[in-house]
Amino acid sequence: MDVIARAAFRLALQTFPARFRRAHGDEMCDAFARALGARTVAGRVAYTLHACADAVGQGWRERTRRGVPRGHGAEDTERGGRGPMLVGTMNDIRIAARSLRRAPGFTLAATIVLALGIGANTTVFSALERAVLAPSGYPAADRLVIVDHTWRRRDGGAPENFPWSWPKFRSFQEARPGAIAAAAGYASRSVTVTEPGTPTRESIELVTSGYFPVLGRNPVLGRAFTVSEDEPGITPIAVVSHGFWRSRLGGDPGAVGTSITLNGTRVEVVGVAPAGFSGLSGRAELWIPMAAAASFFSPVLLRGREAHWFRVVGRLSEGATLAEARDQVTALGRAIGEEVPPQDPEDVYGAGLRSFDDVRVNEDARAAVFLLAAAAGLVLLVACANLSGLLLARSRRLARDEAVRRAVGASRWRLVRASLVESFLLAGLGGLAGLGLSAWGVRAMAAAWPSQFTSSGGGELRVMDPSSLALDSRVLAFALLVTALTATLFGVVPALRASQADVAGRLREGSGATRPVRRALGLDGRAALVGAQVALALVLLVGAGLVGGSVLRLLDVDEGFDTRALLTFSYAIPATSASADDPNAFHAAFRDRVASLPGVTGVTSGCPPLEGYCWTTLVRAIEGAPEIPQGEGPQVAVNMVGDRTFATLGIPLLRGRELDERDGTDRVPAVVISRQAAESLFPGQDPLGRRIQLGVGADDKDDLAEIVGVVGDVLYRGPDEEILPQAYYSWRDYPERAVTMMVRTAGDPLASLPAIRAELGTMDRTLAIYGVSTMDQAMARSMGDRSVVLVLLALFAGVTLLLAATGTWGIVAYQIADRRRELGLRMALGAGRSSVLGMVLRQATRTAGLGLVVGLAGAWAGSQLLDTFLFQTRPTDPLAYGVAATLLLGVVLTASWLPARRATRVAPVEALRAD
Amino acid sequence: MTHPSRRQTPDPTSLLPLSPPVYHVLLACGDKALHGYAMMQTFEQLTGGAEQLLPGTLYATLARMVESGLLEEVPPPSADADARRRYYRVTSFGRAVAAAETDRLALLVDVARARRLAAERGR
Repeated sequence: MDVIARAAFRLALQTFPARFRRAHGDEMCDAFARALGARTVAGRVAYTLHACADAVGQGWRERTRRGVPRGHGAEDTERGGRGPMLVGTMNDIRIAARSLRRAPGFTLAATIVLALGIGANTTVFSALERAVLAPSGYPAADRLVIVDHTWRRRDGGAPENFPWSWPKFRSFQEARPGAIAAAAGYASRSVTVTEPGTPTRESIELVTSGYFPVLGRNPVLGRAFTVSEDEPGITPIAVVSHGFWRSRLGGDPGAVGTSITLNGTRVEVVGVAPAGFSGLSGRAELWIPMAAAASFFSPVLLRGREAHWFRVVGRLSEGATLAEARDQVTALGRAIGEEVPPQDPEDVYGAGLRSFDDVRVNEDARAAVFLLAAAAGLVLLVACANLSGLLLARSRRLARDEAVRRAVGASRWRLVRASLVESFLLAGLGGLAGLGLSAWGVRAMAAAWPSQFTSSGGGELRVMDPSSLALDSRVLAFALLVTALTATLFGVVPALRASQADVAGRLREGSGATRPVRRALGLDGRAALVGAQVALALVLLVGAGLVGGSVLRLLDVDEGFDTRALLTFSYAIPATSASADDPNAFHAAFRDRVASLPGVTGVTSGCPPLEGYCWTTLVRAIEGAPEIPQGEGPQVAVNMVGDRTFATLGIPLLRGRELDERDGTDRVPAVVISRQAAESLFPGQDPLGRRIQLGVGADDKDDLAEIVGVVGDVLYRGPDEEILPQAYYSWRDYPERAVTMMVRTAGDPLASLPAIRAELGTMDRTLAIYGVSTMDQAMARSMGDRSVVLVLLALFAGVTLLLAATGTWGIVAYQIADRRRELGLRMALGAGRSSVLGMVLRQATRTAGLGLVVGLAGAWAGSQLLDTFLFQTRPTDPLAYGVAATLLLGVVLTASWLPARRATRVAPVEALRAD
Repeated sequence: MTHPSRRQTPDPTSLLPLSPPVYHVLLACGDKALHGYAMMQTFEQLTGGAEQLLPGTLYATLARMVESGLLEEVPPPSADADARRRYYRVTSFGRAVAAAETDRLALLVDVARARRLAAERGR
């Protein structure tokens, strides 16, 4: 007991300054022990605690009162340097801060290098956090599941996840397995809201009654939908978003029970959703019972057994496991699939289950973010290698100081600690600057975040909101961690060096003795740092080169039309509108008005290129060709277009005529096909005048169309996706209420938008324009994930190249400065300048060559990660490797040559006399 | 002609009020030369165990008192004394300071009594 008490007291005495302990420590311990001996057992415990607390308090007072002698810290080094850590460290921090202040150039360079490394990592981490790691925020989200309808062909293939149809979902709900507590259907659509306020196009979700309870997001005002509202034929009602309630309904609690007008139908508002909730689609402003879909959209939605159009979210029952639930759902899905034979006997329908958290992560985003995280990690490693070099070079300057400190008794640990403290202080500065850099980087990334990365599950599930990218507490914690890691990484080499300080050698070194030849010639630690930087930079350069090559090839793909100054937007005439009876008359009048606006050079309508195919179908029959068995014709994409579309879009007309006013008469509808369609459907024949059936009309007679022209191929999907044969019909033959307009302008396409909006308003004030885009924006979207990956990879590669260049330059310059005596001696003994230069460059080449070999291997391994981001480029593309390696070698040689040239310009005698 | 600067005796009241440990050390020492542990013992005895000096406070206080001239270190009284122990004696300045502090406290105690703030025992 007394032994422990005495040890505790001795430990407490450590808070006193060393000098005080030297003078009084033993006597104090003795007095404590005697005082202790005079007490009872209980008294000893109390006395020990009391005395120890008292000693600690007094010790601190003593330190602060007297102040710690500044400068060399030798006072803490007696007794093996086990002085109180904290105070010694404070002292070290003061020393380090002073020494960094004295070398502002070095400090600035180091801070920049670190800021680049830490900033890159913090920025990418914020994306990683939001896109991959962040929780969904729904209550008990681990019990949320996505119930998939699945489809496959009878002859094999894995089942594909598929939307549900209303009849099949009803069957599912009736026999819902025990492991699924509740399930709800949801689908995203858009409607025009005309009242109250000015008309706008709003995203909505059609949902079943279980939707709000399953997600745990019940309305804050009013109510959610009831089970009885899942019955078709109900009077339409709506739950509105909190934002919609605030902006359109004035935030009035009495708004529940009032009505709004959607697509011309009056709808009663029954509830207000909680603030910030915008549905699984991430954009819903209104929710309408799915059973009311027929009133707004097509009656087919609730009738067609194979009208597959919505997804299902569910919640597991208490205690049910995902595996159990999956088995039950799969069994039920098989039963539902066999209830009614599918229209195509080769189709097999079923059901499957995925955990919500798995579906939530967009796979492309995950791949891109992990790739960028790896790249950012490499940047940080290069920054560390670079900084290690800087610190090593600097520590050579400070070597004599250190040796003196060792000689007067500073312990090895003391020097290592001082070196580490300096590293941490630098890292802290770099971390702060890096955070500033990433505050900007995160904003830039939020702006450039590809829309493909924001949703998953067929676009119906919003996985992240790019505007939520921010420097939050988790990102800050990460930055702190990276900073500490960085400090340890780059600080450890100089610290080890400090610990190996050879006192006598160092003191002698500066004063005339020749340095060992081995170190001067061999691949020492600094050469290894150069090699490491070269290797790491090569990995990033090759990656950037591969992705950059892909983007160049993508940009080089011919879109098949003129993408410049083309505005696209949509509007839809509600079924209840007076204009709905003859939508073509309305569209034609509107087109004329838009065409007469100043700055507009052409107007047409149809599905715009680059935004995906409108719809695809199978060729049913070709007149004069062998009969095509049902469902086996080639796939064709179909587009219903306005007059003179090809001229307006700049699609070359290869044969025949445009679609225009000549169409829409009683005769057989006209169709224009693409070059690819002509080649695949009519190989070696003249397609003009031939008649085909593409399953476009309501019946076979209606379906027959005569080919009147052939046009060039156009990219409707991304440049890396397959181009389908295309057929264009005239809007005059197939009227539609909803259209997408394409307007060619003389100047900025968006500048015409207000005038266009005004024209539509004067014609029908209940219509809203939506989906406004320009072809330039569409082009950027079709590049999507690649462009973000490319920009960041290129940025990272550029930074590492710069770091590798400056790092090499710095290290070689110091190496040469170290060897000035040797070089001077060589030259004094008759070596020519060029031979000395050659020797330096040979060594640099050897170092860089080693780095290149390692880097090429690393790049080859890393390039496999890139595969999904490449287009017509193999991960082993020799051009990318060759260019990167040559560039790096050039940079290293230049960085070596410059300081070497300077050294050889010094007169030999001067060099010998130096120091 | 220049005079060597004479060291002035500081005003004893300049250090008042004394911190309790300083006053306690002065009381414990009296006119004897004592080492630290002896002071702890003496003080505890003098106060009947109601007050104690803890080693951390005591030695820190001793060092400060030597610096401010209240105590002086003296050689051990006999050759067989423990070599680790340092002995201290109150200086004449220390005595003057102790007396001034005692007067100050006595005045305060008188006031307290007049105001009936003292405990029963004091009446």
